[in-house]
Amino acid sequence: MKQVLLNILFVCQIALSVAQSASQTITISFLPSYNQKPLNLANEPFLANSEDSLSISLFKCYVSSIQLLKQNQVVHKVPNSFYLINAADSNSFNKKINIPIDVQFDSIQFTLGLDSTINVSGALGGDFDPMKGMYWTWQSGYINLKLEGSSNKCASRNRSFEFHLGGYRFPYLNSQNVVLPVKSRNNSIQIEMDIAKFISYVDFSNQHHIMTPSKEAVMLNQLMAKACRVTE
Amino acid sequence: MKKIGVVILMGFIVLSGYNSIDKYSFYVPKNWPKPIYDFSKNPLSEDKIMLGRVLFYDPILSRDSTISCANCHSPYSAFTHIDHDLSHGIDNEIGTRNAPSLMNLAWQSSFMWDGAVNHLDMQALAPISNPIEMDEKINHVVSKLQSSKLYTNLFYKAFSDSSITGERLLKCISQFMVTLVSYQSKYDSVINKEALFSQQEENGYRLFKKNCASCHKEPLFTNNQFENNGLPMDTFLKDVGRMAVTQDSANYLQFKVPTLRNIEYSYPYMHDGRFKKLSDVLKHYTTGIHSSKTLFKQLNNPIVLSSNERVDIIAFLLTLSDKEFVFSQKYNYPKNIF
Repeated sequence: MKQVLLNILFVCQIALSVAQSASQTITISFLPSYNQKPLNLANEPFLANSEDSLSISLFKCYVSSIQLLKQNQVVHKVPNSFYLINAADSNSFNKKINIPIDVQFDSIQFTLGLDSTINVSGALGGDFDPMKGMYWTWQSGYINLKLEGSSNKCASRNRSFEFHLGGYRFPYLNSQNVVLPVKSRNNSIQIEMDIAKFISYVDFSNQHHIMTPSKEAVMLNQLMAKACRVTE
Repeated sequence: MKKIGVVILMGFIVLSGYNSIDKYSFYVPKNWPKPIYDFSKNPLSEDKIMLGRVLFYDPILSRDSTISCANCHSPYSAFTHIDHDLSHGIDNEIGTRNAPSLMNLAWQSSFMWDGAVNHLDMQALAPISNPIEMDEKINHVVSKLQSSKLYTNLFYKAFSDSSITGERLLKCISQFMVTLVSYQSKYDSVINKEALFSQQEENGYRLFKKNCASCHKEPLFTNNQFENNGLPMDTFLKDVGRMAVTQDSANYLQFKVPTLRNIEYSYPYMHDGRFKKLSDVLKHYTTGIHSSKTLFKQLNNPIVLSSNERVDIIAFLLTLSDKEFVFSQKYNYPKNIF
């Protein structure tokens, strides 16, 4: 049964690729970073500066709805662009995208998080499987971004912090739109997500556990959006 | 080119044959509204329903293999936890709410007393993960199933490959739950003109329609909305209901209107099981309503019922019992599998 289906698919794919106009492959990379260096997940604290010790044990986030723009107009929408970026898995950073060869763009737009449609669609697989630990269990909804670790500035048990940012219902719509200029025209766009910049906005003595949709969660995801930039 | 055409044609023939072997037809009772559940995203099959049923009765879903869904959702009490105002989960932990009865779920748009879950497929994830219910992580459930010969066989039968994922196990549990349809009570026979109410039941039905039907709408006996029915807040539980999910004060003390079908079997009553008997429920509606800003509008006018009238309403409510549903061989413990 499966073999017959696969045969049909193979035949159709060949037909399609012949029929398609010329396209090119670009690689869009989402790179969890710390001070412009690759993020080092560790269970032991590393010294960010002489005053505090900080370690990040987990960073995962959803990015979705990737679009290419020229002069603020959308020139290409990447279909089905929903990805889970996991700092512990470098295979999750790089996404190969096919775009028509004649598309010109000067900026890239994506959503940091998932839209409300996905949040009401029930059980999904792959990057959306609840096994990935990115779906709230006691109520419906995806966690857009998870950042966990410890800092001796946290007034919490084990000096830990856990930011589970999400929410698809009014008034705590958590997902953020990010638009970044892209200067050079080569086949890769590297988007740095600088955790250090994000952390610099956080006051750990007051804020170390965000586990529900809230005003604070929205603000933190806005800060994460600000911490994204295209590197050349 | 001709060869491709033959392959495609044969593919269609095989495909259509495959569909008719295992497809399960979901029966919508006469004159009922269209189901809300999107079957196209989770097409029913006998094998997936069976797999879901096996999972429903298997305590493997819990951390220490002591708690299954059926612990709180027993088939003989309309899939609720009879005799318990609040359910108890793992390690004798006591929960915060009364286990709702499970039936006619394809017609509901949200789940739990406060609607915290927006899709049936994600419902099971909540009790599985709750530290006081089953206290397990879904990826650990998947590992346990992957080590089980029974489950690798059942998954293979259902999906034609042995991949076990969170999505698949949740969708199969949904498939079983969605087949729990209760529509064959005495009330249904009367509506279908196959039986008659007694005089007492007829009077009860008339009073029911006058006083209760705005929330407990026929034929599902719920309007699928969240309402405040005047229950004073339990000072220990401090349960604000739907407001906990929406953060909206307009939802203060609002809870999902439960179905009244099989109400005979699903005591005790209300979101915290505070009423043991139906007569207690009716006493609440006639003399116990607690006023507040979000009280359901119709309840601002007191319901006046003599004690005979209350008895008649209860007589009518007993006609909503569906023995076919409660004793069905299709829904109970799958002895032949375990």
